[in-house]
Parts: sequence; structure tokens; C-alpha cells
Amino acid sequence: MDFLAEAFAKAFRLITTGDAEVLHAIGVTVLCTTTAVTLAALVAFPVGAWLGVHRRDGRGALVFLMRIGMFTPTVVVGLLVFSVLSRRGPLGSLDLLYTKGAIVAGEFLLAFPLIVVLTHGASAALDRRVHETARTLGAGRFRTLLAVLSEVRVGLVAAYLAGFARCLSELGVVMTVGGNLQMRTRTLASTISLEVRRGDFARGLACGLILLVLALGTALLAHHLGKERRA
Amino acid sequence: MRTTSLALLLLAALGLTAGCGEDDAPPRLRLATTTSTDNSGLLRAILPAFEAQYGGPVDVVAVGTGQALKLGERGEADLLLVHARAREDAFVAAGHGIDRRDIMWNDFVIAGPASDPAGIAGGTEGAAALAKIAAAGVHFVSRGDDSGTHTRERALWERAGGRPAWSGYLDAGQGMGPCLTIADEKRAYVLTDRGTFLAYRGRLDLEILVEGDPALRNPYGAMRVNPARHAHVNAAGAKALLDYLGSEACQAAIAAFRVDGEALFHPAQEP
Repeated sequence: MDFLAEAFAKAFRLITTGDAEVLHAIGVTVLCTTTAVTLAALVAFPVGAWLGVHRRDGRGALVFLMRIGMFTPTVVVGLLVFSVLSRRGPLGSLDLLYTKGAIVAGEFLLAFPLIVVLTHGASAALDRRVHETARTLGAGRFRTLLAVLSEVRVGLVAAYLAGFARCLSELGVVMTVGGNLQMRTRTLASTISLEVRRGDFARGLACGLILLVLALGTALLAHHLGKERRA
Repeated sequence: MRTTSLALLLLAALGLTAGCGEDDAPPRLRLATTTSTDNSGLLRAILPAFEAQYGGPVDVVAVGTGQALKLGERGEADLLLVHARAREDAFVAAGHGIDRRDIMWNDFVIAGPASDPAGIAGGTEGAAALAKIAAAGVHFVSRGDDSGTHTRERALWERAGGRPAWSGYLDAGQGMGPCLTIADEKRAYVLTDRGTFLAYRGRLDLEILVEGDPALRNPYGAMRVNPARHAHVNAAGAKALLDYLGSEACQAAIAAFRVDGEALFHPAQEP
């Protein structure tokens, strides 16, 4: 019990005293996750809606592929990105390994299939008359897709949030392609893993609490967005 | 009548299982140690002989030295086998551990790219090499995880008159293996234990540039977790294992242990 109390006290101190390392880790976590998931959503929303509305044979295979992609262990995604960005890999000359850009690339790949699958689910459940009506009213493919997306926006918020949740606390990508470099690519999740190995369990737990507060903030924001759009 | 026989049966079953516990399986014995002893295969070479004599397996928790000491402090392990002498002494002084004993040693080396931009190759002083690396402003990967290796790195910097702040210093906060990978990718220098380096050698473009400095020697010590602090630790088992590690048989097995034909660990008691 005293262990938990110590962790809470430590978390509070870390925030109030402005611990440079922890603040930087919070920044890296929020920046990378937001960038990666937003980019992923921008592509995955239309793809998911397109797959959900037009149900032809070939597209079933794509959905299936995305569903499998959803389960890829984060370490495997990390290794894939690593092998591409490595000095000996095809994009090695970009010198992107162990940068925030590499983390964003990996987290993009984590979030993308998840958001596609959830968007596809929401759009497939939508009344077919929505896009049929849009087409009859003379909307082009693009406008039709927009109409569908706007009908399933609550589902989109949920899909975005799911992607965000998968990336916010993930460790496989940030350790493998981020490198957990102090004041560069160290995130809250990788700080926790490091503190546990250091034996500073209270500091690890404190960072865990901060991560939970971030998750809570995101969930509340999503809840708020979902409500407002329904009204 | 039926309840009586059922009760008797239960009692008999209880007696049987209790008997099993007493006769066959000795109490669990947990050894907290560093990843280097486990990953290198040393423990698999020396522990089976003890396990046969003890009559049960040793649960090995292979973590960093910092975490191993913390586990000991919390009474989550019975025996520790770690490598950070000053911290071991502090651990014993604080009453967390007893019976500290030198078991063996291996050594650290400084590895880096063959092109050697800092020009440290062939040097025999670890501290001087680090100072050159910092002065050249090239990349250096640090464990940064309070491990035994990291503790040694800090001691070397102290010897070199303090670590200057430069942008090539990469604090990775990861294990030895991942740090070697990062050093390989960034063409950086890195302080590593010889065992892990040998295990990774085939995959890396790194070479051993500095070795043989007595300040790069890495002694491993074992100590029991103080049963006066934690009544539940397996004091007898820990004592038996500690005695075994210091025994002639085990010391000879440590000396005979090879990875790719190279000796990694040297027994504390030279024959």
C-alpha cells in the first residue's frame, strides 16, 4: 500500500517540479501518437468507408488482411520498420532510425489496420440507402464517401480512439526503432520499462499514472466530440 | 458412514500431498542475477550439478543489476549474483544482504567502428579512450539503465575527469544487446561486456578497440538476502547455493566454460 502511496506522491512531484526528462517524455509521447494516428486516420477513414460500402469479392480479402494486421505484435511492426530504416535497409540513407519520425512511421502501421477495420465495420452496418441516395442525388464517388463518413462519425471517433490507445502505451516500436534515447525518443511507456529495470518501481508507477491521465484526457475529449456531433 | 469415509479419504489425500512436499520438492530457491550470466549460457553450464544435489530447480530471474538488488531489498529473491562492487557493499552495509563473496570476473571492452574516428584503437586505458571519444564529438551509446555496465561507465568517466556534455552521447536506457545494435547502426562507440559482444559479433560491424585495462575488470559477487530482514526467504537453500558457487567443482566449471571457444568468465579463486 505504501508503495502505491509513494508512487502517487512521486507522480505529483514529477509534474509539479517540472522534471525535465518526464516532461520531455510526455511531449514525445503526445506528439508521436497524435501525428501517427491522425495521419493513419486520414488515410484509413476513406479506405475503411470504401471497403464498407462497396462489397465486392476482391475487397473482402483486403478487409481480411487488415483484420490480421490488427493483431500484428508491436515488436514485429518495430522490426519491419527497423529493417527498412536500418543502415543496411532500403531507406537507410534517410538516417531516420532512432528519430521521432521512425516512431511515427511504426505507430502509423500499428494504427492503420485497426482504424480501417473499425471504420469498415461502422460503414458496413450503415443503411445502404445512404450512399444510394447520395449517388441518385448526383454525388460523385468522393462526395458519396464523405456522406457515408459523416453518417458514421461516432464510429470514426471510436476508431481514432482505438488507434490512439494502441499507440499511446506501445513499447515494441518505441524501443526498436525509437531506441529509447534520453531527451530524444524516450516516451512515457519506454520510461516505465526503463525505470522497472533500474529498480525504481515508484518512478515507473508514477509515469504509468501520468500515462493513464493522458488516456483519460483523450477518452474525455472523444466522449465530448461524440456528444457534440450527435446533437 | 459415508461422510466419515469421505473425511478419511480427504485426510489421506492431504497426508499424501503433505508428504510429497516434505520428501521430494525442497522449498523454492530464487536466484536474481544479471542478464549476462543467463544469456551467455553460463548458468546452464554450472547450475544443473547443484540442482541435482539440491533436488529441485533454481528459479533464475535474469535482470539488470539495479533491478536484481531491488528484488533482494524487497525480499523477492534468496540469493543474488551481480556485478557492481560498490553497490553490493552498500547493499550489505544497509543490512539487506549477508555473506558477500567473490565468485568470478569477466571484463569489459570498448567497441566501435573499424574506421575508428576517435583514434582509440590499441589503447589500454578505458578512461583515456572515453575522453578521446568525447573530445572527437562522435557518437557513444550508453546503457543508461543503472546496470553494472552503466555503473562501470560512470566510474570510467569519473576517472577521466567527468563526462563532458556533447550531442553524440546517446543514453539508450536499454539492455546490452539493443545498445550494441544501436551502436552498430549509428557507427558509435560502446562499452560492453565481452560475453554479450561475442554473442552479437556475427551481426555487428563493430570491433573491440580497447581491452585489457585492469579498470575494465568486472567482478561478480554473490550474497544471500538477509533472512533477519525477510523471514520468508529460503535461507538454507541460498546458503547451499552460495557454498556451491564458491566450491572447487563450480569454480572449475566456470573456468572450463567456453563460448565459441573463448573463455568468458574467470573464477575468483585462480587455481
